[in-house]
Amino acid sequence: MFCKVPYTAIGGRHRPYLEVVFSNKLKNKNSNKTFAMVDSGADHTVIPFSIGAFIGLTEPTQEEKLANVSGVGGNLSYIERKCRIYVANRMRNKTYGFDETVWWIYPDADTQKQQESLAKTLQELQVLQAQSYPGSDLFNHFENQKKQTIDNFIAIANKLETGVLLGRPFFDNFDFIQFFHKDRSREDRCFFNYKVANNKAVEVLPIQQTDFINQIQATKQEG
Amino acid sequence: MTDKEIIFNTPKNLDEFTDQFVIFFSEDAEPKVLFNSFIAEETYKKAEEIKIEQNREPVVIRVQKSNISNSITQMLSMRF
Repeated sequence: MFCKVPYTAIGGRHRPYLEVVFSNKLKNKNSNKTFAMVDSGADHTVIPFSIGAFIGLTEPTQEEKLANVSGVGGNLSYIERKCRIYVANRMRNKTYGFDETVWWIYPDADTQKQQESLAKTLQELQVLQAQSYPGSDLFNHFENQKKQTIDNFIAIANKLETGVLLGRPFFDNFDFIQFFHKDRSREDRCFFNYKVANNKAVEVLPIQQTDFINQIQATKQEG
Repeated sequence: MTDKEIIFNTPKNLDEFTDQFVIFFSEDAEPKVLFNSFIAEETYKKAEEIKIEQNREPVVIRVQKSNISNSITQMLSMRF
C-alpha cells in the first residue's frame, strides 16, 4: 500500500500529519479520530493525557510515577503504555492497526484535581452567567471570572494536551517513508510518501466508519 | 505506485479556536467546526454523539498556538 500524503494545514501551517485512531484492546475502547504529526526527529510516539485517559489506559502505579517524574522536571511526567494505532487509508478503503508502545503524558494527582476543579468552576460560571442579563454588571463579572478560569485551564492543558507525535519507532511499520520538503516558503506543496509493510499490521479492517461505532454500541450494551 | 493523494482537510478559521478542542469532518472539502471547547472530556463525548448521529467519524484536535507539538512534547519525545 503506497500512499502520497500532502502536508495538512492547521491554522495556516502545513505539516506532515496522518489520521489515526488509538485503541485500548484491553477495554475495547477507541479514541476519536485525530491528527498525528509524523516526526522523524522524535524517538518516541507521544500521546496527550486526554487521549490515554479517554481510552482507559492503565494508570501508573506509585512506583512507576516516581520513576518517571524524576529527570523530566516539574510536575509533568509520562508513562509507557501499549496500545493499538490505526492508520486509515481512504484509497484502499482499509484501516491498518499496529501494536505500539506510546509515551502517555501523565500528570500528578494534584494537577488532575486542579484541572477537574477548574472544569467544574467553568461549568458553574456558565450556568450563573446564563441566568444574568447580557451587558449587566453581573454578566460582565461572570465573564471576567470565566476568562480567568479559562486562562488557568489553558496553562495546565498546554502541558498535558500536547500534539500527537508519531516518532521514528512507528516508521518500522513502513517499508519506507520519504519526505519531499523542497521549499520552506511553500510548505503547501510539501508531501510525504509511505508504504505499509505487509507483515507489520496486526489488523486490517474495512475503513467503514461504522466499525468503530458498532464497537462503541456493543460496549454500551454490555455495560 | 499511484499518483493519487490522500488529503485531510481542516477548517479555515481554526485560529479563532486557539487552545480549544475542535470537532470537524476532515473528508469534507471545506470542513466546518461542529463543536469547540476548552475541555477535552466534553469534546470527546460530543464527538461520539456526532459519530452516532451522522454515521461518520469526526476528527478531534486541539488547536495549539504553534500548531505543532509544543516544547514539552518535543523534549519528551527526544529523551533516550
